[in-house]
Amino acid sequence: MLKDEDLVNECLKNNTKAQEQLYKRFASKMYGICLRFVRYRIEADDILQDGFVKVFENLKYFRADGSLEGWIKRIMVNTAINYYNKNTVQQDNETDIDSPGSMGQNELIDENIISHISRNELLEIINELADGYRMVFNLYVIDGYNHKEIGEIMNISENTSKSQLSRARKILQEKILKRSEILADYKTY
Amino acid sequence: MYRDSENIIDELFRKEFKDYSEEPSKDSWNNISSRINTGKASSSVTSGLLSKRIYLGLIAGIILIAGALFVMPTQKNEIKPTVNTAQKTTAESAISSVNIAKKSIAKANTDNVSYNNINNLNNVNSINKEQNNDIKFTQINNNATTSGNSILNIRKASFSANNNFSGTKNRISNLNPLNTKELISSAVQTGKGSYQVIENTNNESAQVIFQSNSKSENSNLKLNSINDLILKKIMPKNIYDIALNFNINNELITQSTLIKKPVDYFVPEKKRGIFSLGINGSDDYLYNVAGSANNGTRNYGIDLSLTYTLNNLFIQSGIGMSYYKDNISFNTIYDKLKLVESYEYVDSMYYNANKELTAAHHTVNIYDTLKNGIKAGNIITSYYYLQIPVIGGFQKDLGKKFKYYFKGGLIFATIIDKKEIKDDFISSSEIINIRNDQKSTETYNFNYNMVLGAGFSYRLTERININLEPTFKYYLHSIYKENANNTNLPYSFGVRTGLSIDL
Repeated sequence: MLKDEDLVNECLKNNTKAQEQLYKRFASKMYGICLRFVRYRIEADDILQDGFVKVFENLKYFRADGSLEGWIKRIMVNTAINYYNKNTVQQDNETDIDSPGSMGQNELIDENIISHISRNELLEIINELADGYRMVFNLYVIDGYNHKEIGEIMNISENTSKSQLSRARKILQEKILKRSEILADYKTY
Repeated sequence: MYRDSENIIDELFRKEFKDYSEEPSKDSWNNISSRINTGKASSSVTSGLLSKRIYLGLIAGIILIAGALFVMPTQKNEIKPTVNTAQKTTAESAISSVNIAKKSIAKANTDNVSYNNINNLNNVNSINKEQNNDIKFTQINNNATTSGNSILNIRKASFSANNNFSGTKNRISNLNPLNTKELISSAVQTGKGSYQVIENTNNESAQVIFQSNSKSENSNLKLNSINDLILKKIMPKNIYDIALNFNINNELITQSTLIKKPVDYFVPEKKRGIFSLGINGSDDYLYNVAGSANNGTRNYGIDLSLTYTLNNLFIQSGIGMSYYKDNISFNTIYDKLKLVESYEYVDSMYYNANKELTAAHHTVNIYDTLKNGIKAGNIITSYYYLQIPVIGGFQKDLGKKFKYYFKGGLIFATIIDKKEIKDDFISSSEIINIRNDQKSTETYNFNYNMVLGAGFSYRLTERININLEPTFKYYLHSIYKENANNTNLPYSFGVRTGLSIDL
């Protein structure tokens, strides 16, 4: 199996087999990322395809000082954000700023109960979030962006990013607790 | 074990999705590969490295396309929806799971469906999509060209940018009940945008997004008649999906399970009323005018109307002219001299040159006075009125072409001209006195009448209508000042017809 660096060099020579190999090496992981950012699989397909086209078009700019996977991941995330910006009516970005107190104190959750919720259910829950919340939550919690970076790439203020993250967590918490209760009820029977 | 919710949620999702992976669809690589290769071909062409072979191919292609364009109009008229599909070809990879023989593409359940590289997708009567899966078409080079096709229950149909939808008669016509012709032709035919219907989990609403790749094209993306949009509850948990349901004849299926719901958000322009300008002619039979013999006299009119219609209500005004004439008989009473006898009155006697006695005389008539002679006659009077109607009404569609309406209001009228033709009376020196010189009946210069009408309107073209309406008018003010023959208020029955154009 070729190393990432060699694979990139082969791809730059327009070696189609190398291109396919690169795709296969990272596709499933990138598809996992895409699925987190959009509500429908068909949209994730679009983003994955657009993202990989960008990867191949810009491969000559890749510098080996970072990991190839990280570089591709960044392209995928950017593609997803562009898709969001292009396809989403910007209605919940700036208007949903709640005062910090309105969200209430963090509640305590029984870790054992929520551990029974499957990954698919979590994906379903996260997909039920409004687009803006989902994007901010993904970027901050899973992809490790800070609020300043999120504000810049999503064209929102830093405070809005914080507010949306807070609301996203709250909604997720409610949904998870609801599911947990259903699971708990189910077990008692 | 209980922990702070914020941390636990972050950790939960981070743990599950940090390295989450899932296999994409098998077609993804093919699409990516074709797009990369297309890019290369494109760049090589633009760099000017055309070989002779490519030139020849291009020339042959241009000739073929020109030939096809030349032949196409004559073929178009011959195509019928029921033409068989024997000549239609599809890429094997694309339609392996599609039963073209049945002229339908149906896919249900859970899988996403993707049809790629369909070279010819003709005469497909329905593309039927159910519930949770999405359907996607890419690289359709020639979509159905016949009428009568339908696309059903597609939650999301996306069309990639390079699609050539040159023959999309089916898609456009199928969406005609939504009046999305502009939209679809812009978004799909040019391949510069996509059409998406996206559900919303907020229970009560749904999103329809028509996305153009270029913001400058947004002016074309108008979705009119949004009230016709059908929301159908086909999913659990109160998630609404949008279904555009039409039968094979492009008629909207109205089932009791369909919920009509306006989605104002997607209407860039608020629905405004429509002004229309009309020209009409009318013919009425007028009763209770002066002179009983005149009942049923014709009242002709012509008018220019301006109508403002909002939803099912309209108001109408304008300007018009009407003309009618009455014919009044009368008896003229006169005094006349009657000749009783005549005699010769001798003025003088004298001898003429022959010395004959000659008398100079003249005839004297003796008259007696004959009083109260009676002579019958007629006066025909023509009246010209200027009219201004103020009318309101209600209209309703009756199918795609017809409308019926009811209207009522007032017509204000003023006389602008009056012409009188009187029988020539006895012009004789015997008449010494006319006791009553008959004139036409005096009329008021202004009157008004109530008008009631009901009619049909037929849409000739997109903007031009022809209408026909029976009308009844009742005069609320007398025409005549001195109604010698009839004291009742006049009324009329008639027909008004004309053309109107929506402005």
